Amino acid sequence: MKRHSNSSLAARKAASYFLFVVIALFIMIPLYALFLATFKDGKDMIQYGLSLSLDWEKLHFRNYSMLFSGSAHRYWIWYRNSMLLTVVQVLLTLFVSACVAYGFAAYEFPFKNLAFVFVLIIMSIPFEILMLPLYQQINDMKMSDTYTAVLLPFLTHASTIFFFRQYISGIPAQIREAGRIDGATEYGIFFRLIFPIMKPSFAAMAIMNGMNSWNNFLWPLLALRSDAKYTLPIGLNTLITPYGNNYDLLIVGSFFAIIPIVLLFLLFQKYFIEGMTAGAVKG
Amino acid sequence: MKKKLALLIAGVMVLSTVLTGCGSGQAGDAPAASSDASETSAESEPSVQDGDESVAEEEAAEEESSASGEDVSAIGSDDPEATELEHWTFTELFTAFYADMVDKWNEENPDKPIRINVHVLPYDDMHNKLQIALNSGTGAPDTVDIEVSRFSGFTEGDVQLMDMTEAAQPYKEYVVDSRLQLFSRDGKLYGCPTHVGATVAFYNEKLLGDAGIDYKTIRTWDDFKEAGSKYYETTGKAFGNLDTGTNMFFNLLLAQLGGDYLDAEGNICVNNEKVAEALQVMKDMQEANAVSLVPGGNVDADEGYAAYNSGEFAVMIMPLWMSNRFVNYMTDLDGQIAVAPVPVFDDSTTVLSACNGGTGTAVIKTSEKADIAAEFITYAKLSEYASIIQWNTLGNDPCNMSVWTDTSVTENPDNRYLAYYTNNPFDTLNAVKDGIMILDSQTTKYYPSIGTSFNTEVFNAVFENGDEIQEILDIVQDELENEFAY
Amino acid sequence: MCRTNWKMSLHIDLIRIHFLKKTGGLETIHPFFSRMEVSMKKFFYSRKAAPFVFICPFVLTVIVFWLLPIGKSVIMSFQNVLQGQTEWIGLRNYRQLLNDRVFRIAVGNTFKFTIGMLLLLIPISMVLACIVNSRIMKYTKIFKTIYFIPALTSVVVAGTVFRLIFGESDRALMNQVLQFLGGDPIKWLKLRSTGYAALLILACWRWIGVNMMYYIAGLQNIPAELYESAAIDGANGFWQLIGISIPLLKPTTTYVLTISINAGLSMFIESYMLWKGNNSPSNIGLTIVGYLYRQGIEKNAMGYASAVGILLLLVVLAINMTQLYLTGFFKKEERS
Repeated sequence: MKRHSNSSLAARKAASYFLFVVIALFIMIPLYALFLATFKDGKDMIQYGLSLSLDWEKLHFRNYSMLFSGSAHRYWIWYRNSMLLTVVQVLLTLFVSACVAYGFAAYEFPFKNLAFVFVLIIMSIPFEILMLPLYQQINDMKMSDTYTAVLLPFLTHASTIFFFRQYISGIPAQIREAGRIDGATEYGIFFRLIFPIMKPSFAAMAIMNGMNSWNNFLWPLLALRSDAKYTLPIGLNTLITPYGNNYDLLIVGSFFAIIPIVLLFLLFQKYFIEGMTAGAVKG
Repeated sequence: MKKKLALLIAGVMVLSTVLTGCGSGQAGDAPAASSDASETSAESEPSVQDGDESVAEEEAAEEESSASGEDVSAIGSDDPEATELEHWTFTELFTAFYADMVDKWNEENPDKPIRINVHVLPYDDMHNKLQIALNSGTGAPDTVDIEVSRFSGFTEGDVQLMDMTEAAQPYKEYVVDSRLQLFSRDGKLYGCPTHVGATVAFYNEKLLGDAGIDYKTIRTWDDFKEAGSKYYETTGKAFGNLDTGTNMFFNLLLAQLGGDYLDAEGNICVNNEKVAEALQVMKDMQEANAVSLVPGGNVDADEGYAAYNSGEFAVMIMPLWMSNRFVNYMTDLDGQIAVAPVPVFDDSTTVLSACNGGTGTAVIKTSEKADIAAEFITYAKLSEYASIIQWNTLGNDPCNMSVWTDTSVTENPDNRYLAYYTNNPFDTLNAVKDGIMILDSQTTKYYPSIGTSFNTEVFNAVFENGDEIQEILDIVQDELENEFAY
Repeated sequence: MCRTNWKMSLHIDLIRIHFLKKTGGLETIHPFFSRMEVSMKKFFYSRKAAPFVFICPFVLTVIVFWLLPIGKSVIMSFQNVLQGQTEWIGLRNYRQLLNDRVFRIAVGNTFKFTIGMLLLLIPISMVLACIVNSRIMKYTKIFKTIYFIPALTSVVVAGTVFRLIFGESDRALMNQVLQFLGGDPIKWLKLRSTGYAALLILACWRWIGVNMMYYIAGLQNIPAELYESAAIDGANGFWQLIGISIPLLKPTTTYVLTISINAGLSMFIESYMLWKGNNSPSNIGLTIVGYLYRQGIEKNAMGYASAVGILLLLVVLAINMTQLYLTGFFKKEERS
């Protein structure tokens, strides 16, 4: 009996590893092909497509030297813009969403539940539906081609609010009461007591929002006009035109576009899972 | 501890990126302006932003652009009095071209100096933003490059583009008329063409020779079909291109048959017999293996170039602007391609070529600088000098016909396009000169939708899935009628 | 784990509050403040005002950036919007839409895609998460990281890479794999079935890691004792999954279901990048949002595009409401 379960455990173990390795391969191969392509000619991409084939003699570092020499300076401007927008967006969204979530979680007020259902509804509206009228509106407000226009619509992110509310609901109400007894203002309670406790959830949402913001494509595409303000995804997309694709910069640029966000994830991974767990949907 | 370290690293990362961003920003100001058109632009086009070659020009370009500096490619006079034009385009290619033209303009018109800020926007996006800017009356540039398939969207209702008929007058007699018609509505010229886009036949002389075929004997489509069948039997490889993603070849056949997508009253009628006939002609050629489906559905795309470059196809019916794709992407075919007029149905066929593709440069009517902009744009797109630059740098068949007989251009030993072909493409252009046509429907508001329907549905249904021709045409006709019901 | 965290921070914060009390309020700095503070204090200590102050930014942005555009969209859907002029045309946009064959194709594609995504993504990511959680394997951290990377990759990048991988030529990666397995090269992006598969593969590639994370997080909240006692009762991994994990993961599944449905219904850029534009052969990759984009942006028919948007909005709302209702969310909301 016991031996049987041991051997079945081993089999399960092997099967699990097999499954995970296969899926990991499936996930890594496109990225690996992209990585290989950074050492190939853009012309190669056009003539032979993206493949895993390796021709050692044809590999070179010219794409990299181009990327790091002056000629690709547009790319680094996009890069800087993306960094800047992502950082600002994440900080703003987290802060504002946390406030809103706290308002919902910690207080009773008329129509509260109705308002929260509203949050859920907003959460379910695909942004794509709004983009056209919103774009016209931004134009009417004379806000087109500004970062404000890119940032503001996502200032309060519905699913972030939802997540934070779940998280705050799990924090014992006694903490707030203790704060009040000690004479802290309502805002003091939030900023001094609740804020520090929310840290893990911030990490989780920072990654989720950072990921969205870093890769946000449609809205910045509509809201921005001058190429000096482009973000990475838009800039990379300008390299794909009906008049031919600039694969040299596109491929190596795409590869470098993944790196910072992956680093961010690696650094905060621990807090990410912790935060996700604590704020996990409890229904 | 670990967390602090993580934060520190993240911080350093952000900071360093910001710094490198600024640093290289100063180092390489005016990136696109620096690649001098006459030498590097054709290369810098899709693939190579060749650092080495443009270094030489860098200094000069930096001086020129120092006036407005920054990230937009500001080109031209640094005279503070100069007229400053905001220009939108969707391909980096044209930046270098305008750099050349504005320099020449300033040289010839010292009293009217111009500076032009070229903004490169993504394709769809540029057209959309232009539309919205024109609708709302704010935020539009002074001048703009509009892709031909989008052009009709801007000539409906209260047209916001400037009528350049007058400004174009000095050049009109030299420019291919059909090309101007393509960008004209009710006799008013709203856009200046970039090239003729004359549809020709590119024959791979080497592959055909190996199969014992002389392309010079191909005069009619029947000859073409016969040669194609023979080639396929001998080599087992495809002869000509059959595209499902573009209607350029098809438009040519339709024009040669005297048909159009419209009925006599100018209403949409894509299920008429001429359209069906043209489809049937292509279908017959497909069955005879004279034309075969191109990988990716379009010869003018990565997979199409790859297929030709590796010798999987021997003939291409496409506009002459393919020259620059040949030279840049189909490098293995260097010295193998001959350019010839497309076949005809019989001696009575008057259409010898059709204008396809292209970009019209327009001036926004409401711009304060509209007049000088129109003067500059007509010069920059229609003049002889403009045509020479177009041909020399981008390999576009020049729309100013006086260039076609100028031996300093047509026999220019330094031209890479001439060097690429086995014969002289200008001979072909001169031969078809009086037979370059367009379809009437190409200037109507229906055309973009017709194009989309054919490129996504009709060709795929007929050539890929083998559906009944009339059936799919009726379906698409219903679709289009529904769309333009009012 | 998190509970101990809270306890710890609670402790720290009690110390902080103590410190705050000692230093006193602003009035100790200057008497001026004490007068001003009377009204200020009222505000800052008001438990009635506070929630409104907190949710005010939300209300504002929702009104300006969501409700106004939606309102505008509703209005435009009854109009024919032309350059510089608009006319009221009643329900004609909607009537036209009902007769629009291409729109029906787009709707069909979108639903097929959404359903396919749900069927693939939810079970697979749930099983993967359970395996990770069962601690049967080592190195799960590496796997978690690898699985998450695609979600961090921009669609612009991912779509381009997949377009090249699913190329038609026999040298493209997928066709190389097929040939290796003894098959013939396929025109992946031209056929309805393989085009659909390519799109699904791209979506799975991008989202499997994220969904797995949600499930891992959900599983951490299930007490380990439940599994232990089940194991003593002789339930193996499969029965533990059926008996414990799936029922107790219901809230997580609800959440994942919601975001997946929304992602599926609003899918566009994946298809846009995969087919290098919005015009796929026979519209096999056209989605509802893609059609909205084609009409509103490529053809500049804003009124018609708005009608498409409003219809999509109604569908999304209906689906989400039903789903929330069925999972009993509203009941809980009312009780809480």
